[in-house]
Amino acid sequence: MLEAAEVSALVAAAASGESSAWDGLVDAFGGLVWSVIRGFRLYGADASDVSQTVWLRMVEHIDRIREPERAGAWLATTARNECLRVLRKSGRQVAMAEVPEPSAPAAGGDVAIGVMAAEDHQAFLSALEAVPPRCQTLLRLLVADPPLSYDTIAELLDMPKGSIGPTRGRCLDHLRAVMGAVSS
Amino acid sequence: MTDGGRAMGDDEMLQRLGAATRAADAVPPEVLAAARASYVWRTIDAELAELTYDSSDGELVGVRGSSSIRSLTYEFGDSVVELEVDEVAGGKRRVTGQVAPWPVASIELHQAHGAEPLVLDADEHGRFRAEGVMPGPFRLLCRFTTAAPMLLTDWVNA
Repeated sequence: MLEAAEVSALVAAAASGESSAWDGLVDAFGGLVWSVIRGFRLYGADASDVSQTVWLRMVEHIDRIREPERAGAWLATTARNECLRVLRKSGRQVAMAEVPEPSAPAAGGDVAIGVMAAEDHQAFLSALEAVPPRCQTLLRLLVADPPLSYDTIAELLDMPKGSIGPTRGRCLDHLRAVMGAVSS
Repeated sequence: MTDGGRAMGDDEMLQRLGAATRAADAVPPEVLAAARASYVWRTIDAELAELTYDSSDGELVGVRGSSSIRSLTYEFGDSVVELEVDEVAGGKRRVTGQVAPWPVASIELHQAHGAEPLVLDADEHGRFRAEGVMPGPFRLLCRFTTAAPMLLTDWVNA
């Protein structure tokens, strides 16, 4: 993972014409941009068009980013804005509501490891798609790589920083409830 | 592969979720390749007009107006570019607009998904029209008959 100074250096080098530095930025943050996009539940051409819009914008803004060491946050914010535009255009709900408690908590709050093999990634991804949209977005941001700070997540989701922790817990309860229901 | 049914804590759930997204829903290679290739679009001798108005930013969720037209305004200094983007048959876009106030020599429409830029003429009022624009990111590069520098609109996803 890159230090802030390394990110700044890549931004500066890319701004002065070094394409290898640009590739370094894409390698460092391409997955992060994708996490945001998938967190807003965009797929296929919608998702890839948002990603490309974000990176094309970055190319033209690279020498005027106010805080180069926070390029990741700039990219995530730009991705969020473009995702919201796509969602609005297609008339899809933009989930901004509070996350309720799961109505059917998993038995004992346990998720037996037997529900999924250690490598059963698909079980997690399927379960993620079944939790409330607000949770999908938050959970994707929480597992983004490189990690986003709670300050950045709070800005991206327009929620108070102090409510991220409790909402994280509620969302993971939703995930447990879905996976527990699958196991029984 | 059960483990006695022990509860999985929040931290471990999150760790496993992260591993799952990285293993099974990672950024596709072609998306990364397109991101790297975006660098070739870098234009250093034009002024960048920022998007100052997008009609799609204010719409109510789930409400489709009678018109599918999206209005966009870009500004840099005294320069203003106003566009209307409409979806036409076949999923393509029609882009009509006006560039003001400097007299336009020519306009290039750059498409992320198009092989070549579209070269457009503008009338004496700076009005122009482009048909058959691919959906996805596009922008305009405006050249003027005066000594004014070229004007580039910020990429927009249409």
